[in-house]
Amino acid sequence: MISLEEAQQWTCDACGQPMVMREVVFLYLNGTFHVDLPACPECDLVFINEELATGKMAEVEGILEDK
Amino acid sequence: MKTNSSSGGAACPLAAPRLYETSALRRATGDTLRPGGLSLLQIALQQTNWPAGGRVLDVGCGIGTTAVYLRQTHRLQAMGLDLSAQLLGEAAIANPELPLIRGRAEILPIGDSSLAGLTCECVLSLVKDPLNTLREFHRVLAKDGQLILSDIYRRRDIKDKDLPGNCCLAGAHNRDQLLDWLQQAGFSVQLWQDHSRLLAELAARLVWQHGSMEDFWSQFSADGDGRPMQHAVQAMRPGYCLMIASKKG
Repeated sequence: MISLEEAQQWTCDACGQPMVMREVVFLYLNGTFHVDLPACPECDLVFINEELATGKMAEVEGILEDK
Repeated sequence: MKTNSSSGGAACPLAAPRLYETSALRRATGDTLRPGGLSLLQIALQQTNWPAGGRVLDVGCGIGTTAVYLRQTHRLQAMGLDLSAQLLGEAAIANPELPLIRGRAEILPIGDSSLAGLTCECVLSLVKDPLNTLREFHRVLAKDGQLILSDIYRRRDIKDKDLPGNCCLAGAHNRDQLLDWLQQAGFSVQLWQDHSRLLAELAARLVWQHGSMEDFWSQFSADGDGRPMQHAVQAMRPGYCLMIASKKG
């Protein structure tokens, strides 16, 4: 999980705004998920860190692909 | 996934009433507290013969979402039954007119042959004696009454001894066992459908919310180790199914 403290360490490159934690809705492998992720309050850019991309998303992928 | 049995112990999140009474599972499942929300009920309702005004009981009603849906969309006299006083309390506050019963699936305080229909979603795997619970469902249904049943089932058989202690997933059985119990209880099975994708999506949401399935299970493990439960789940390959069964004349 990305903590609020980690989120606040990041700034949106386009807007210069510090990231805030926000519920993000996204589609992944035909599933709809509501997840709290760091996002830019200005342009809604979402930040996914390496741990999330290589860890949690890999587990989710395995589950959804019924491996 | 609602409370209807004392099977399993405090170490198991699916059997421990407290889990259902927290936001941990509800956040992932929504108010129905089961995979798929109302979607399987909606599929099943297309194949039921319940007349408007018919009496229907939702066993393991949780906060009453299914019963309210049946009343509002199908004009049924739907009632809810659950073991959890807290969930029933929430149901009563949100829906003061909804008839609610506190009780167990195994012993329904309902007269013989008095219901047009019965719904039981993600509950049968939690009861101690599924066969006699199905016989109880059969008793309260009128002739040709229909049971809508959805639940977790095992897609790969493993021995119960290979499951961690107090694991409610031990209450999940395979397809053949479920169909056999329905027939033994006097039902004619009209429909079996696999909807394991819904369980996978629920598991995926739990991963998003808790970090990993192992982290999710560890919150409810007596020793804080979620690995045995996770290994057992992987070995069992749990799926989710929808069934419709009717009471034979």
